[in-house]
Amino acid sequence: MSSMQQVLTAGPPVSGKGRRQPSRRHLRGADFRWAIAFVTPYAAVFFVFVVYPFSYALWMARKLSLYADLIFDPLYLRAVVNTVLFVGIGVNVKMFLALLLSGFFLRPRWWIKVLLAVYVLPWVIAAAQACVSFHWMLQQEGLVNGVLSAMFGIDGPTWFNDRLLALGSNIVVYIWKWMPFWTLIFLVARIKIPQDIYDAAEIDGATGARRFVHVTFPLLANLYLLCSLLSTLWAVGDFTTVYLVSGGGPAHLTDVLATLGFHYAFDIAAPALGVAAVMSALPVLIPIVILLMRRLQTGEAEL
Amino acid sequence: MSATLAPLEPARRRHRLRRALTETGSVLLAVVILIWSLAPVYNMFLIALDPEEGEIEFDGNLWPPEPSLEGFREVITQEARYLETFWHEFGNSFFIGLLTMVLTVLIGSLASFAVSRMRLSKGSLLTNAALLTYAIPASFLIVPYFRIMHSYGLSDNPWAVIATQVTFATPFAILLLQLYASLIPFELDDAARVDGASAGQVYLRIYLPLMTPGAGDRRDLRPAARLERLFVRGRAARGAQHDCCRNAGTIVQ
Repeated sequence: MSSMQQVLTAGPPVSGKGRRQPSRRHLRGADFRWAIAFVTPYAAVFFVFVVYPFSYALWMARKLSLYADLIFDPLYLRAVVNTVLFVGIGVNVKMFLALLLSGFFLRPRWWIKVLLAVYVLPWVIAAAQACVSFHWMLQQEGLVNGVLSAMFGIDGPTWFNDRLLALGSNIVVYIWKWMPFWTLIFLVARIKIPQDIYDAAEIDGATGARRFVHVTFPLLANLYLLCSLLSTLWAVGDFTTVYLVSGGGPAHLTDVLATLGFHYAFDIAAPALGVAAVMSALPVLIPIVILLMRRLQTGEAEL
Repeated sequence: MSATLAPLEPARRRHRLRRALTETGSVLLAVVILIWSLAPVYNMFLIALDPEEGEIEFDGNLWPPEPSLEGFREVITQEARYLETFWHEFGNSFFIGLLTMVLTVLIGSLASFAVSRMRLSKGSLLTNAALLTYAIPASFLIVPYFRIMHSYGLSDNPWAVIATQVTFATPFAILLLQLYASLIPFELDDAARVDGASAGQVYLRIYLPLMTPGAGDRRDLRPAARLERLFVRGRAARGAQHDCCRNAGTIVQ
């Protein structure tokens, strides 16, 4: 997933202003054949590995009785609640902290630049390794509890035995993994804000927190919303974090839709039910996708 | 004199105090960020250097008393359990990574060239498809993929992984390459076409060289130099070409 995320740093694929646009006449002859040849590989990939699997998934989840089974399954209902908590808390806390921290990393100090290099490390590390390391850290006698007892004399809890603690651990790991990326996005956006605006605001007496509330945030609000929507989509599909940190445990109490679908399909051999479980998120996801596609295309992601 | 300075003094002191507070706050925040970012990495080191196998407990030592590279040796010599085929798996990772990269760049650059440089009508459909793929959570398609790969005869085959990786990496490549393509002046393509280059030649000799971020420092004008070589027999005015090349060189920075 990480490799797919960078496109926002570069902004939307809009052509440069004032640059000559290609005239919209139709291609003919050899050129048309070239163009078709160039597009064919991607079109093939798209149909074979996106359209077909997606249609296949819809076909597998076509029976209405599957959804009746889901609604009467307490596992499913809890997974829905967990997904809402995981995505709602995870995405919002992550985005807000990223926005604040991007301001911190803007400070002109040499050691802050060094710190930024360390800070993006979580984003660079492969998600699976990081999640396994967190899983070990949060064991009964892992690093976290060890530090708790050494420094404060507290006996740490058994993190993955309690639903809320385990869910909280998943959320924290999710924030740890993805906050650096969004901080970089906001950092780039903040750098693009012209200094004149801040100068003018300072003359008007807006400094510190007021400057953030009345100048910076309104300028970044659009980007912030867009990033939150995109991040929501990816967080709903986040399988790695939950699967490797809490493993959905204890007793599937912290499963989200993605891991529950996997559990249905591969542990209890009910693939159709598994697909139906994840597909039930589509009514929420599709409007977000449509909104995002519109916004990304019109280039509103740009500041 | 002192009368005019007097009201300034407390203000200046307050200013200095505030500054000291912000500095201390920054340093504290920096420490928190350091611990936050490095803790899992540190944990991995602790576990890797622990001489005892299967040990993930933290025993209160910030650094293992007897750090040992035994774990690494066992992995490299394939002695450890479950790791009898370590080098084969290692090779798999590289094979998958390399092929994913090559295929993604190839497919992505071809598609982005057709859409952004070739005036293909309905080209936006392709961009839409890319955006759509970008927004679908891959984890939702685990089950269909599992079955489809089986029916394609790709179970237990690294190509199944490569295919899915390429599927979800290409949209990003297309969107990003298109963005960079919009920075290359169309005059370059036109000049080459006037010289009789086919679309394929424009792709190979102009688009790819200018889009290669891996060709060392993007500031150097090697692609532009290559362009000049291409244009040596050209009919278009020399001066204009130089301008174009320079533009391309500076823009691609």
